[in-house]
Amino acid sequence: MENQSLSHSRARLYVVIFFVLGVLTMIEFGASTLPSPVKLPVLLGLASIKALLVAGIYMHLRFDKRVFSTLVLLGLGIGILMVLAFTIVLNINWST
Amino acid sequence: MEHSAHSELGSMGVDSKKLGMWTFLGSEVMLFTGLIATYLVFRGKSLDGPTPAELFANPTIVAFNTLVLLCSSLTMVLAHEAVERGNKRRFFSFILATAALGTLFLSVQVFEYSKLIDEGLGLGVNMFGASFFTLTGFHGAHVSVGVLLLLLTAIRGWRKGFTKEYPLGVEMIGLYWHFVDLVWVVIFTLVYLLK
Repeated sequence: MENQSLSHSRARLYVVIFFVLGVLTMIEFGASTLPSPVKLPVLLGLASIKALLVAGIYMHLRFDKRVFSTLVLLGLGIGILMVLAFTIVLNINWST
Repeated sequence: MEHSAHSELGSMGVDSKKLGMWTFLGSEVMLFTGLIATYLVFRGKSLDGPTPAELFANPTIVAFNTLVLLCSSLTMVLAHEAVERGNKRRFFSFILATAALGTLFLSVQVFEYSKLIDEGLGLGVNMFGASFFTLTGFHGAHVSVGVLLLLLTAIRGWRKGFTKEYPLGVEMIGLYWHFVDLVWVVIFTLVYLLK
């Protein structure tokens, strides 16, 4: 009985998160018309919130063992280091 | 053989299959970080051909596709919740809905590609085209594999019933599916909104 009510509350949480993600997508879509200096931080902030909600709630990282989030962060860290290394080695200019 | 009762648990006290899946996803993060960075470097380096600002002036179709993928994440997580409760009818409805939404996403992507090609963008047209099609094509390939895995999981559950290890299998495919959704969240912002 307790398990069933826990499962129901989880299902409700998933639906709420879906609506939050939907609303954030609409806001993002609207924010894409903002002037350049404001647009970048706003859009990146919204995308980060959405990514954290999917990873934390839908992928259960918030409730699961920490080793799993460590693996993902490790992958992200190595990926970013790789990109930075190539940027330096190939002398890539990001501004254009 | 002494550990047969805990054969799935590794020395870290976590399920080996789940650990393997997360390691795989960690490597996928590296792959997509590289692809996204390549796109960001090359999108403004084209000497001719259409530019992102010209092609993505109104990304309504892509916003719709983003909502489709978010919706599929909801149905996936509800399918996982249903299999844990042993509710077969609910599980099959949600897993098949997820596969259907994945197929809808792919169809819209094919439609978008044909529109872009009509407007003059192609894999060999300029650096923007090459990096754009490589990034979104890789993502599309991941979605296709996901749809296939969802259908295979559903068929397996239908034929063999809910075996003891079946919910873990559903969780694995769920993790993969949500990851594909998460990557799209980033692609949507960086490719289509920050043009």
